[in-house]
This record gives sequence, C-alpha cells and structure tokens, in this order.
Amino acid sequence: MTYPPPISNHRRSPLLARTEPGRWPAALLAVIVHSAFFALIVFGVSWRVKLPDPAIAELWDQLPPARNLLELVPTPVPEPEVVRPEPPVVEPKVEPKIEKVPAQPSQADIQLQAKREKLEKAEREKLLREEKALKEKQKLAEVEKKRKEDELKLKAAQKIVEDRARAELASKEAAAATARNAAQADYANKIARLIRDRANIPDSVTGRPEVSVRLRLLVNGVILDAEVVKPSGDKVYDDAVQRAINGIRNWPQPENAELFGGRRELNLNIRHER
Amino acid sequence: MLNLSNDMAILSLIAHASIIVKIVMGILILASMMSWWYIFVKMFSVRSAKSQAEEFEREFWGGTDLVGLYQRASSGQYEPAGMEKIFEAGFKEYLKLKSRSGSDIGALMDGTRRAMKATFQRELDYLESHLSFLATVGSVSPYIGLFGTVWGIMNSFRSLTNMAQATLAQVAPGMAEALIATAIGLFAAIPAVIAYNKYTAEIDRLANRYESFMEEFTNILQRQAVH
Repeated sequence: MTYPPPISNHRRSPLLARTEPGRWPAALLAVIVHSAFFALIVFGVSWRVKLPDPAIAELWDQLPPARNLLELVPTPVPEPEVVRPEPPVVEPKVEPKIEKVPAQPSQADIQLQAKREKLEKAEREKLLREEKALKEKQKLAEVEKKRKEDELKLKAAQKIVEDRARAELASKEAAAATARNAAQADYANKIARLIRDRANIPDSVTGRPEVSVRLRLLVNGVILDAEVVKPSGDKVYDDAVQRAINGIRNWPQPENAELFGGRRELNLNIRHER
Repeated sequence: MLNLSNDMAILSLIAHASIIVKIVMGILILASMMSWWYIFVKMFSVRSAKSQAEEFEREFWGGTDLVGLYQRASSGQYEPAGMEKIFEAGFKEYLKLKSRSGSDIGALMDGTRRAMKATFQRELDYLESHLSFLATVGSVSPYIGLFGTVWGIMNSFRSLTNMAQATLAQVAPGMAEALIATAIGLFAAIPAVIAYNKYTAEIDRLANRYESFMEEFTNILQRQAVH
C-alpha cells in the first residue's frame, strides 16, 4: 500500500526542554498554601496562650426581684390630674336672660318683685355654686387621698421587696462569710498540722508549750514567709518549730485562693501535743 | 511567667531565634516553597498528560485514519504531547523507512519501535522532572529542621550556665523557638513525600499506558507493512 509521504520538517529539536504548563498558577498556589500555614500557626499559637486567663463569674440563684416590681407598680399614679372641673364659665350666660323677663310689666311692684326674685335667684345660684365648689373640693380631696393611699401602699410594697432583697443579700453574705471563715480555719488547721508533723520535737520538751506563728500569704494564697511571733518559753520547742517552718518548701495552697483575697496574714497557735 | 503570652507569639519567637536557627528556617521555607511549587506544577502537567492520553486513545481507537492523525500531529499547529508524540515519531520513522525501497519488514519495525522508544523515554523524562527534588525535600528537610532545633536547644541550655537558679521559664522560649525549625521541616517534608509517592505512581501508570500503546501500534503498523 502506498502512503503519500507527508514528512514535515517544521519540527524544533526534540531535545529542547519543554516548559511545563501552569508554572505561574503553581507559584501562586504555593504562596497561598504557605501563607495559610503561617496564619494557622500564628492563630494556633496565640489561641493556645490566651486560654488560661482566669475568668470570674458570679452565680445567682435568681434575679434580684426589687427592681422588677418597682418598674411595674408606678403606672396608675398620674391619674388624679385628669379630673379638672370648670363650672364658672357656664353661669354668667344665665344672668342676662333673667334681666329680660321683668322688662315686660311696667309696674313698680312687679319691678320690685322682679328685683327680689332676681336677688333670690342670684342667691340661690350662689348657693348652688358654692355647693358645687364644695363638691369639687371634696372630689379633689378624695382623689388626692386615694393617690396618697396608693403611694403609701406602693411604698410599703417596695419596702417589703427591698427588705426581702436586703435580708437575702445579708443572709447570703453571712453564709459566704461563714464559708470563708470555715475555709480559712480549715486552711489554717492544715498548715498547723503540716508544721506539727514536720517539727522534730526532742524528748526533752515537757508540758504543753504553745507557740504563735505568723504566716504571710501572697495574693494567690502562696505562703511568702513564716515566723515565730510569740515564743512558747521553751526555747528548744520554738527552735524545732522554726526549723520545721524553714524546712517546708511546698506549702499547700488554699483550695480557693479568693478566700484570702489580697495579701493576708495568718496567725497560728501551735501547741505541743504528745 | 506572666508575660508568657507576649514572649510566645510566633513572630517574636522567630525574631529572637539565633542566626543559625534563622538560616535553617530560611532554607526550610525556601525548600517548602519550591516543593509546593513543583507539587502544583506536577499536578497540572500530570493531569494534562492524562487527559491528552485519554483523548488520543479515544481518537486512535475510534477508527480515525492513521495518516489523518499523523498529519494533524505533524502540522505544527500545536505541540503534540505524550501518546500523540510517540505516535507521531513512530509513524514518521515508519513512513521514512517504508519509502526507502529494499528494507525488509523486520528492519522496518525495529526502526519504528526504536523511534517510539526514544520519544517515550523523553516523555517520561519530562514527566518525571523535579520529582527527585520532591524526594530530596521529603527525606532531608526533617533533618535540617532537627539540626536547627538541636542548635537552638543547645544555645538555650548554654544560656543557663550563668544562672544561679535555673527554671523552666528561662529555657522554655528558647526551646519553643528551636522547635519551630522542626515544625517547618515537617511541614516541608510531609507534603513532599506524599506528592512524590502520588506522582510516581501516576507516572508509572501513564508509562504503562504508553508502552502498551506502543506495542499495539507496532502491531498495527506491522500488519500494514505486510500487506
């Protein structure tokens, strides 16, 4: 069979190095990968370090009720202002009408009677007006009274609520204080026991000597130093206790360092017991 | 101890490292950059070689005329690659030898196969380029990182000699900054090893594919030469 010989001669050398496709996208991707890795490291390291920050939270069994009630109650108070009577405006209009009536008969008697009637009427109206005014006054007084009563009631309610909240707070504080005292006493006992255990008391010590020791605590409850404040009188015993204190390297920390908020001193009485 | 968070920030750790550790880190970052670059370059080139092979095989076995295929490949309109290039080289040699009278079939087929083999080798060489770099980075960069770490820890311990009371806090920053070198080394090594293994396997499979194509194509040419 015959093929047309289509041998082309345009070729470049086959030995010429070929450049691979996508070199620049690849470089860009490599840079992206590295910056992502770097960001991950920075983020990871800084995140890990920030974790141990201590957080203090107060836990409440329930919300303080006092404020809530106070906000709810005062709404009905401003009512009394609305009732404002204005009777004097109506009356002057009636008077001119009455003057017209006696003008019809021209006799003096009638005139006199009319005058009298007029007077009477005026008096009656005055009385009526006075009565009305009195009524208004009474009404106003009543409203005022009611308002005052409401206020008193409200005040009483507020007082009860406040008292209750105060009592609750006080009891809570008292409970916290007792807990704190108990914890402090517990901790003091622990320290005293440790010192007593460590103290190597010679047999020559007799009786029950008691020595006062003052410990100085750091903010977090770590003991800074300890010294004998009031010696027992038995020098050997005092020295033994001092040696024990000096020998203790790892002081126990209180379970709750906040109980000893701030720098505190702890006085211990250590008595020789055998 | 309290300002630990400031001292342990990664940037200050790197900045405070000794010069040797810094050099080690620089080498490692460079190696990592290069290896990732090659990883992506290889990814693109192996992927395109695969898709080209698939396309050409589909065309070749789809009943297209061999002469037409050859003319298209040798037209110079585009650069044939992979399987198509092997085909082109083999067919070119075949046509050359065939046009010369007096050559027997054995010599004809041998020449064709040699031409294809040469192109195949060249293609394989092209595909495998830079893979050795990935292998080197994968095996060596952990050691380089370890060297930086050892050096850094050595220094941070040496600085303790003048201290009356040695605490962990005095050694910790030095150790941390030294360990960054190991971390970078591992970061460079792990992807490089993975990529090396992956691409070696893929190129092996491609080579097998090329070789079987060569055998089949030789058979086809031999059948045509006999007729």
